[in-house]
Amino acid sequence: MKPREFDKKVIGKIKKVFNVEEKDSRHKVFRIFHKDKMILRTLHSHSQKEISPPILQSIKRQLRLDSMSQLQGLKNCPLSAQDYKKILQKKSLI
Amino acid sequence: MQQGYLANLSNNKGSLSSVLTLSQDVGFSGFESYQNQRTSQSELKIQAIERQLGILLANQYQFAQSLANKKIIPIQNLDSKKIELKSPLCLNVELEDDIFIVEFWDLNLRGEGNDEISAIEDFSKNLEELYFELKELGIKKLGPDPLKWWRFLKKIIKEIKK
Repeated sequence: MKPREFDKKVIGKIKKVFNVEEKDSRHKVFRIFHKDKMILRTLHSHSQKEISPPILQSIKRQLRLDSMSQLQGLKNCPLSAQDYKKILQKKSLI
Repeated sequence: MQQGYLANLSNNKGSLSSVLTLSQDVGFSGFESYQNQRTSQSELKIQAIERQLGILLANQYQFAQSLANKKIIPIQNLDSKKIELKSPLCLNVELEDDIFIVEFWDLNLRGEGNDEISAIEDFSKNLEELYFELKELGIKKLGPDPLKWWRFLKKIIKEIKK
């Protein structure tokens, strides 16, 4: 997955249900808020042309997803923003 | 003792006589094909065991290789002017696709680099950023996970006073 795809598709989808703050420091940091509280935080490097599989694994954990297919699902269509919200609700994160 | 020896001899005689009886019953060629059948069955069993052993060794090799790419490194020095660790942190270090990834799962935080040192440096800077980000937000603006991170960070980090 390319960083631009991640920003546009994955973060874009999360933005439908949560407030996402982006911060450009050494890395691109995304802070996800729900009802004015920060619930999750993820980041990726600026320099990468492609986010490598082990980094994607780490991002998956940071977004509190259970599998890589869920992350791919966020990028493509199967997992909707509402489905993602339900996943976080089940984990009592919101 | 002699009785025991005799009993043993008669037992052996019994088994020999049963083989002879069997060879007489089925004929010599029948006995030979029976023996060939048993040999081929044993060979099949050995082949199956060898296959399973091969799979087991391959799995063991893969496991050993994955372990070789993973290790735990304790760090004490963050090389920061703002914060220092009160006690060492044990980081998971993993080499995958030529990238070193350093992670600390309790904080859901990672660092990455082309070598171990740069990955640890990246992690240390990310840790510093996370600490001040959470501090700036304040506990009222922290959800369940970030609140856990903050409580943990407060235990392990000491701010350096100028």
